[in-house]
Amino acid sequence: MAVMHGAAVTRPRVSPGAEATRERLYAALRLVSPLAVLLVWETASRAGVVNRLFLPPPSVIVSVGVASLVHGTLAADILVSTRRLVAGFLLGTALGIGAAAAMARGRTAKLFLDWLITLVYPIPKVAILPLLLIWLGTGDLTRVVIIATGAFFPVAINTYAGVRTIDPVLVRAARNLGASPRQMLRHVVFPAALPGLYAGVVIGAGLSLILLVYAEMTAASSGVGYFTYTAATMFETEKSFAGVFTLAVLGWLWHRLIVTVQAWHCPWTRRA
Amino acid sequence: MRARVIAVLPLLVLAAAWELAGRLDDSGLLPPLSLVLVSLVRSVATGVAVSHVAATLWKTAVSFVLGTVAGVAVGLAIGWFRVVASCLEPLVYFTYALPRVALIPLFVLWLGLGNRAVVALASVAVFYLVLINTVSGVRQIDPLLIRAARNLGADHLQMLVKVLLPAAAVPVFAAVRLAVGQALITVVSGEIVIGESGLGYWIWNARYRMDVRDVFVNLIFLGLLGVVITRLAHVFETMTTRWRHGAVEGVWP
Repeated sequence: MAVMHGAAVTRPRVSPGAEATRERLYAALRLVSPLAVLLVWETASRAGVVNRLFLPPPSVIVSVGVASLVHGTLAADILVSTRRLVAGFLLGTALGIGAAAAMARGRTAKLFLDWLITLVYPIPKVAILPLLLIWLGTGDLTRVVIIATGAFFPVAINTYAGVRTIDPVLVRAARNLGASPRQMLRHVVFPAALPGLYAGVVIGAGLSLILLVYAEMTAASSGVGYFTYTAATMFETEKSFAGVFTLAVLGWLWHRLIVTVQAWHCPWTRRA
Repeated sequence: MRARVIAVLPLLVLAAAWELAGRLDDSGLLPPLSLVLVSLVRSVATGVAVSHVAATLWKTAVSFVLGTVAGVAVGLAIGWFRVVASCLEPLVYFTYALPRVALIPLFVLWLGLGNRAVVALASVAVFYLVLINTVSGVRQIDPLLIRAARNLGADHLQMLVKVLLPAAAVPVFAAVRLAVGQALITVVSGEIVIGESGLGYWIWNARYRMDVRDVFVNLIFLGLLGVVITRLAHVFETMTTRWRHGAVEGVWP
């Protein structure tokens, strides 16, 4: 009973002191549990309880990771991956905004793009990679384009949804006040589309990262995805784990970057 | 009627443009739509498509079930027991930022190339999605219901069966649609990298053969499968959670 959670009101009545002690215990557990996992992992691996080939000790993973970073290819791979990610993401976002603008302006464009999105959107983007490899070759262009598809669809769909929510009163007011098309776009349409745009950008940034890793694992000879996958196929487990860890950090930083830009550019869309 | 014609017109124009471009192209990089459709019919007739679709569906189903069961179980524990939440939540947050495909190398190490690693990968993807929705479901339970059940003398099992599961069912069922899509995508991704069967394996194989027609046939199958599966899940969702709506939004790579 004492450990039950549910909601604040359901907690059994106890003295405030005991309550505070329990809160402190939970906070301590939050800190300790990841460390405990690492400790058990380290010990089990060193003692041979689990095969080191499959689960090397975290300390060894860290030292191999640092060695790869300093002496090996990892630092260069991170740079290459970042460049591909940023290029693909920016390309996809720009095209997505363009598509949304076209859909918002012209009826014909809307009809065509609607169909294109209906037809292509349900296809897992990973499956478009084989086609791109045949069409565009095995160079960086293919990787950038596949990463761009990850950003394109969420950005196009969400930005267009944002444009459609514009208050018609604002549009009429701006027109009555003599706004030029350019002013209309800048002061009415763009601010209204911004929350939708960023909703799409956040999703698209995540998908871009997935597609980056994926493209590097299947069709590249550099990048963190390549580093991680090749290490696994060579049974260099420590290197592979270090690669996975690098990808996790990269993913976290990428997400923080996007959310920070969003918070700076349009603070009112920031989620709690 | 006229509106409907106008709505379908772009589709016909796109199809005609594809056909024409394909006929004009002699590099073999863009086969005309008609030839793609011929390949599609042939692949169904010879049973190649059927076996690959079946393999992908089977793996999708297994990973969906495994991931959902584990996700609901762990989600209930995290949502209900503070101790479990304190221990597991930091781990969940640490691992959540990791793109799921990045786990492929590890599963290759542990399970080898092939179906087992693919199913494990997709199960993990489903697991996280269901886990998060289950936790939020349990935490959103009306405290009044819990107090009422407790005052009426409900024991742990009754609390689980009569209060927790029905309350968590709403977001979990709503997550099913997203989870099914996630399972399919992850299975196909896995098949492309390390598969031995299924649509992902087939499309990658077609790529090596430079068989653009087969690649397109595969894309059509994948699109259809995605639409059919998410529609079915949507019907299931509206049937089971008619009284409430809304899941934590997921993504479709």
